[in-house]
Amino acid sequence: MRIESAAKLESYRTELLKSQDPDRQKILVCGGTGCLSNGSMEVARVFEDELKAQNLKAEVDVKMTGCHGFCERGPLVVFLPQGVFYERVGVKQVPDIVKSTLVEGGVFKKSLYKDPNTKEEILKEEDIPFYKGQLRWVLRNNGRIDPTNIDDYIAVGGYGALAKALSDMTPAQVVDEVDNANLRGRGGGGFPAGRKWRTVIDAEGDRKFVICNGDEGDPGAFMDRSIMEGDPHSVIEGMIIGAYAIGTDTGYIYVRMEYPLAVKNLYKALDDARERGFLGKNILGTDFSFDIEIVRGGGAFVCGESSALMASIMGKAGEPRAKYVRSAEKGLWDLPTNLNNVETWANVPLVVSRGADWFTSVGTDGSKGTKVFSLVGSVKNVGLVEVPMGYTLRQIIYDIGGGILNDREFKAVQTGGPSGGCIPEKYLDTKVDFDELTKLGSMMGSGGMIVMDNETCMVDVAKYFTNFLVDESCGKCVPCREGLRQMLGILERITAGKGKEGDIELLEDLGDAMTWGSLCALGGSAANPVLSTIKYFRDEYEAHIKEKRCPAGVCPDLIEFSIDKDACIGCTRCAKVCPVSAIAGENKKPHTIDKSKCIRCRACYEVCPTDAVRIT
Amino acid sequence: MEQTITVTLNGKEVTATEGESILDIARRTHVYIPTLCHNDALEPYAACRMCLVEIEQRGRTRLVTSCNYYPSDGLVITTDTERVVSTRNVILELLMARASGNREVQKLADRLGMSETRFKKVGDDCILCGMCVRACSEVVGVDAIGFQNRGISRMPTTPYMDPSETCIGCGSCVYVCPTGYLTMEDKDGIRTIKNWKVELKLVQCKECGEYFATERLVQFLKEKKGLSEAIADVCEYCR
Amino acid sequence: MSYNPSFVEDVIKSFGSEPSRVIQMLQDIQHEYRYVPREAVAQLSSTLDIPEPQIYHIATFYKAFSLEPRGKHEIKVCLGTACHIKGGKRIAEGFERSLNVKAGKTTSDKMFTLETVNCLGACALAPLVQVDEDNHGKMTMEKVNKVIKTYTDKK
Repeated sequence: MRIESAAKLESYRTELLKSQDPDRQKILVCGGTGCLSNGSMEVARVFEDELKAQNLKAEVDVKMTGCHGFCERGPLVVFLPQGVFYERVGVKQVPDIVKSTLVEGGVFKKSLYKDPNTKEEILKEEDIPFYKGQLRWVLRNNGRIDPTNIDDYIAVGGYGALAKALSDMTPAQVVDEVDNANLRGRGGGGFPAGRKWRTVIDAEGDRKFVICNGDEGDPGAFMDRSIMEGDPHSVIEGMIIGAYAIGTDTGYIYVRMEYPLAVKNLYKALDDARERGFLGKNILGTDFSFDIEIVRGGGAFVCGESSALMASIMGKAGEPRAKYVRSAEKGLWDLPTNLNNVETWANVPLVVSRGADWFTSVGTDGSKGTKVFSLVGSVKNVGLVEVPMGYTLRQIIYDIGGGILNDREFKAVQTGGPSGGCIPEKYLDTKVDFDELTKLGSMMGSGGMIVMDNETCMVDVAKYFTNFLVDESCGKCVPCREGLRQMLGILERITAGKGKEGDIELLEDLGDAMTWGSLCALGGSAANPVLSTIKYFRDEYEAHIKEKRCPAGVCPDLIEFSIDKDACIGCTRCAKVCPVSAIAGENKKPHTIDKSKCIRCRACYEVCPTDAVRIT
Repeated sequence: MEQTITVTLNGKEVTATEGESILDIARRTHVYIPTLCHNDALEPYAACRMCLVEIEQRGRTRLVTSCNYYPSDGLVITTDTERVVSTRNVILELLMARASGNREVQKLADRLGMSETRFKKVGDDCILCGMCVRACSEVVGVDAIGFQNRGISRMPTTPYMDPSETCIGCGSCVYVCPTGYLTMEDKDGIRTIKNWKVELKLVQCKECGEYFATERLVQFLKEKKGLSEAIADVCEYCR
Repeated sequence: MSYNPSFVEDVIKSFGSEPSRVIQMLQDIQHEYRYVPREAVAQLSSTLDIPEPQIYHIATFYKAFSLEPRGKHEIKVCLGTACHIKGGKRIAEGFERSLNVKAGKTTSDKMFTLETVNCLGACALAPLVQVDEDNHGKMTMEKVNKVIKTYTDKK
């Protein structure tokens, strides 16, 4: 059913709201990739069965929503209108939950969230510290609506920004709004979106394009995945508004093939948007026409780089080109092309509907609005976090993240993915925004925030990122391809106890050459993990090189495993899990590790219930 | 009508036309900039990074490859700043580690005063300049070869590393290869290009009887380039 | 599965026979055959008028494609940063030992192809292993053999 004008959209929305009872009982089951992996689809099905069994089917709706962000506690289930939040819901808990919440009108305490620090049970989502500290603008609909149902999106105001732009604003006014809001690219570059749009508008070319970069390749980052899965229309609406402002009729969404649910939900969303007339010819009855095509990535991190992404859309290998002429002027097929990240596009409807003044009321001087981060690693509350720009690292990691897992010590937080760097404890009170993080030698990047504790070896982390990049380098230019290979070789030597005097200086020289001489930003930032860990953790490098010692107890060639006889209870779990049968011991008697056989895989360390395995 | 611009190269003002690269301008004014993957018959590639120079624009300095940077009016270019030399030297060290036996790399190292590399030797003679692939595609138009893989396993090859069905044995790739990695041998009426696993029959010149080109190449010249038999069947000496 | 040129022709047509869509076409072909058959490269080359070396480059550049048939089950061990910190590499090594195959290769009985991948985006479940469409989160060394058994038991 096409919606032929802005006014018709309003009346359609009113009709939808009228037909919706705000007191209607709903069970929202998270259908994001994380929760699905933990069986949330099955949980939803069992809820349906249970409702049928309890004769409640007619009064209760079960809905699958997009990623709530608190993936570690999944499957997540929310009951509305009560607002009760249940975590770790398995099929076994379903009957009790239905009984307590619906039949008895209470709560099933066992499935409530328990704060790991205060131990109290919390009833509602908004009271949980993980959510309380957040300002969920971009993630506003995640966990609330069914991403495969466009009417859900319309009912909460969706496509209203588009209607406003097409009926009340000229393209120039839309660009002004985005400019005044100082919306900076959320993909990592932090480049002002408005300025990029203007460059495309002013560039010469009889055809122009808009692209959404959904190739979220930074390991540890899943913000864009959750937005594309959980609220695809917010991205689509943003792109349509952008296309109107820039004056193009063709758009592309480039999505990683490793995100099949995002691909699926985007296809559905595009179909639904076309059906309603938000895409295609004469959108909302105006003479503006625009449509979007989905292009799946082929499994290459380098395709997150804009020129490589465009090469991929054009059907070529993802080799970047020098950006002496910007893609905004010569992009796809040498025509002006505007590329923005998923999260950037998702911000556009907000900017247009609420205005630049509202948007700039939040954030720091240089960075306005919010940012979505994926807070992972050694934190108690792992998941997606959206906060105003300017929140400190400490607030994010401790107030929202709940602090370090197992109460270990904080060591570093890695931001910006393989192009970023590690930030040590003394900078925990840094306000997170584009410029502050760059000053510290890291960068905001796409939003991956990986927390590391004292059992993380920073040289190993540098080696990890370098290894990742060796695999992902396109191989065209010498400094990146050969530089990364040599960098990895040196790091492997160091972590194997074969480091030499002068290795650190060699890494620094190499890093500088890669930074200044590479063809694209992948090579140009490839040395950051090494250079930033040398900057803040030089002593760790020196321990590996001079003393052949790994202070964090990680590098297999520099550590030894042994069992503390006094702590060992002889449960034999370690002996059973040891892949090389290096552990001997009788039931209930202390076990020993044969060091000549031990391959230092850590399996025993992981399973020991009494921490009797020692690493030296 | 192309615009005339003025740029500053190593402190001297030089006039140029829009559309000239920094490398073009430097060569014209006898300023030396090293190159390895550049060939005037091919589109600039910017893979070897040897032609890096430092530019200054709006108060910002950065390094750019001179082969594919086209200046606009007022650009300030310096070819051998400390930054350029140190970056280029490390990159050369990387090349020396990769292709340690290679005479072109050695020549360049000698010219730039580099004698050693601190990096571990890899022993791959191909420097991935891409000229073979580019020549076959851009100049000859046969596209018999291309790249395989990415990163350190990237290499020029025929599809599936099988003997090429489409190679016409013109030898352009061998001719442009700056390192001797590609070889071609003519013997007993057969031309062998080992790298592409081709052994192609040579034909004799209709005039003097000497073997001069492969059958496929002569065919190609007649069919694709429309050359008459009078020219295609005769060697370059007899034409 | 034997090669079917009309399947490939349909795939080409579904993308409007547009040469720039060749990567998307290869993905559909990969999905169907579990690898990219050599005949497909030839057919794409002649239908779309793209030189074979260029298609070959694409097929070897992108991790999505394999030139050899993959095993019945694809085991992907995530080595994203969050998974690495939680021991992803050791899990990968565990699978290598149990299956007696190196990452990137297929077992001799063609049951399993073991791969390491860079971030599947389910970082809260680190370390993660994906087998076909199933995600196995919070993997431990103990679970490695259990996971393998789940699929060898399935007939």
